[in-house]
Amino acid sequence: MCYTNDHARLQYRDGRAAEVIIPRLSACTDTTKVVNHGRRINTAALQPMNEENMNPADEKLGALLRASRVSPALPPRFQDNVWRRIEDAEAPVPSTSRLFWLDALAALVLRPRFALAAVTMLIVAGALLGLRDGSQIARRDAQARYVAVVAPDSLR
Amino acid sequence: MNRSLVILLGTLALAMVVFGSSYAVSRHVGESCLMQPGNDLAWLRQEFHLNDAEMARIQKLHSDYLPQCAAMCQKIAAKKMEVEAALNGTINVTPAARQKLAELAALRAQCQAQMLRHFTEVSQAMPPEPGRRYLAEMQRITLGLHEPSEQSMSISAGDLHGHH
Repeated sequence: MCYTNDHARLQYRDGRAAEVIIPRLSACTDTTKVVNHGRRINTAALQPMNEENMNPADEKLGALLRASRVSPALPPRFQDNVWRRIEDAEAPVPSTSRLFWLDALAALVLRPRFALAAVTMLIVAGALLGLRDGSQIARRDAQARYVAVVAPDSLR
Repeated sequence: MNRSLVILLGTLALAMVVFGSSYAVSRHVGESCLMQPGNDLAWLRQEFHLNDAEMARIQKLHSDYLPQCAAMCQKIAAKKMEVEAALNGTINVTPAARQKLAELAALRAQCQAQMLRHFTEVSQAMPPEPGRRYLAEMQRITLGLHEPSEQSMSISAGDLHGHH
């Protein structure tokens, strides 16, 4: 088997394995494509003209391209980071509903009609409660004044 | 911080300010409107919904009663000073101090009887139902009648004695 391609092997967390092969410009005829679950697809038939069209100039060009191709080293914990990002993207957002209700409530509060009704209601409720408490305080004070006049403290 | 949360918190604070301001202003207005400084009988008119004729009768009773009450208060104050003088410098209750205490209690009882007589007269100057309510209320305030406190205290004291 001729490996003139770039190979990468991904190991799923559930034990499955996948091999990814990226074809290079090469004289090798054993050209394969993405392999999943151990299955390998031969794509040589899709490239019937590769060998026939090869000439020294192409070989030089291929060699130059291979030489110029930079294959940087993967950063540490690359695979873990990839899986974590995949899981993060697929995980449900727990605060979505809360955020939705907050946004909806904020939008409701900012509606002029609702704001006007709420302010009116608060003013009326405060006024009614204040008048009730004020009248009770005035009544208590008036009673205390009357009792202080007709029944001095020395008798109570 | 979430923008919606900031909006809601701000709205809540604003609502509290609006409600509190409305409450404070209304309470002050209600208090000052119903308050009648200088009129000692304002409570009777407000509480028992008396008309002018009833208020005039009660005003006369009140005016007649005040000098009697003031005279009795002067007697009580003088007797208190005598009791204080009798108790001054002694560690035991002397017979003279006991005599003064008895005289003070008699004066108080006399004053209370006079006060209750006045309450009865005032209640009779009112319509029957408000009159009954007034009399009960004044007895409750001045004598502590119609209150379960002493009854409950006597029950608890009985329990205490039972234990001992």
